[in-house]
Amino acid sequence: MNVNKSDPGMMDFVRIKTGIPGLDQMTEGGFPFPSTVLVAGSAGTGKTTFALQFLMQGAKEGEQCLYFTTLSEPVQWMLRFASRLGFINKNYFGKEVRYVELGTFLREEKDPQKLLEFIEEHITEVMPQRIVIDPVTVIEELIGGSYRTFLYDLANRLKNWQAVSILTGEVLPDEPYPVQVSYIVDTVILLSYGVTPEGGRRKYLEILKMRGTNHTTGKHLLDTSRNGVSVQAGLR
Amino acid sequence: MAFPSRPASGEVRLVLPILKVAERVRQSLPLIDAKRRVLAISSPTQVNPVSVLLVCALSRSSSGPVLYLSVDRPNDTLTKMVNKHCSNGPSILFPNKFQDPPKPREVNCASSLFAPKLLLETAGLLSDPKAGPATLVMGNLSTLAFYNSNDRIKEFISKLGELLNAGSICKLVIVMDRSAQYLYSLASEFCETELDFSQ
Repeated sequence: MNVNKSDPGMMDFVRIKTGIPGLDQMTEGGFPFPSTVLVAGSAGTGKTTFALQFLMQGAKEGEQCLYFTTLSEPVQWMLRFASRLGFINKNYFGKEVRYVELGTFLREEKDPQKLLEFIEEHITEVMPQRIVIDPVTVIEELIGGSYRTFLYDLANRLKNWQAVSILTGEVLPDEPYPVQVSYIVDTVILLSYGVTPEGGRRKYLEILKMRGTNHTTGKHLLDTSRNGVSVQAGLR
Repeated sequence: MAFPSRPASGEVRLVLPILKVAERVRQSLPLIDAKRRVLAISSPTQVNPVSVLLVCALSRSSSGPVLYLSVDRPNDTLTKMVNKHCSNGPSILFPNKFQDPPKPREVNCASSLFAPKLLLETAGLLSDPKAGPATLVMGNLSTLAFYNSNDRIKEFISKLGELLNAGSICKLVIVMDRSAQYLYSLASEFCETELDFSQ
């Protein structure tokens, strides 16, 4: 955790480590605490791995983390794949990292207000410092027209809970990133594919917005391995 | 006063982080009971659980009412947190000038970002000799520095001292992190004892 003091007269943000190698150096030391973050990208770009690394970093520092999944998959299914990643410490699951399945609730109860209450119930119980909702964009398909209002209410509540919250979002073919979500968050990080001059595919990370932070701009190479994702700042 | 660090076998984690905070708060109660001006230091990310669990613990152990003045947290958020964590705990009230003064086992929550003076007025409004002097918990003091000058905060702390001296409140617990060094120095000088929940 960092407290930057660039100007002695100015109260600066507390920042928490992102858990993504290379990213803290691009962001004055990490995500501002508290704040809300959108990590957007198409399938396979590393959104869930990014989110899990962020939670594992928090757990390592003794913080409480809460992971909401909207995908309706059993806990053991997610853990089965996650356990193959080198940075995962299974001892944290169920304790420092709590896993909450939102998918079933969403299918049975489409009232956005009740969904917010369900989320809040879990947040009040463990008072987490790190929260992930993965992916938030699925909720639009299930609640339809109330989605925008839901997002505003969600953002307001998350900002009151004193945590850093990551919302992951699927990028649709006709939009650069989930625009509706981007308005309500403090930080937008885009994960994308690109084609190298040799014709290969590479992954990139770009910080589109980070309020209150002098962050690096442009696309940077994103390495993916068993050890998770890492940013090669300066490599494009 | 720092709490004993966790055993070296830290890999075996048996409880949620919040339960560890609750245990530290429980251990600290005799020290809080013994002093009137207490500084509770938290890591910047744990101010939330430390404040709420202190309020819950004090509402059980104090004979008088407990006032919770929050610098940067809306009332409904406070209510939910206190309701969730104070088992058999206090009722939550939001002070206004038409309201009766609080009774024992009632927690009053008030919040104000930009006007510390309002927090003081609230504290004064709620103090009632018939209910017994109140215990006042306030936090996160450090976040006042985002919205107020150092001089204004210094004056605010001095007024808190006046409330104590006048008997309006019997105990003051200031919760803060160390991100605002000047405020930390002021609060540290003002308080009789310092409990470190940040380790």
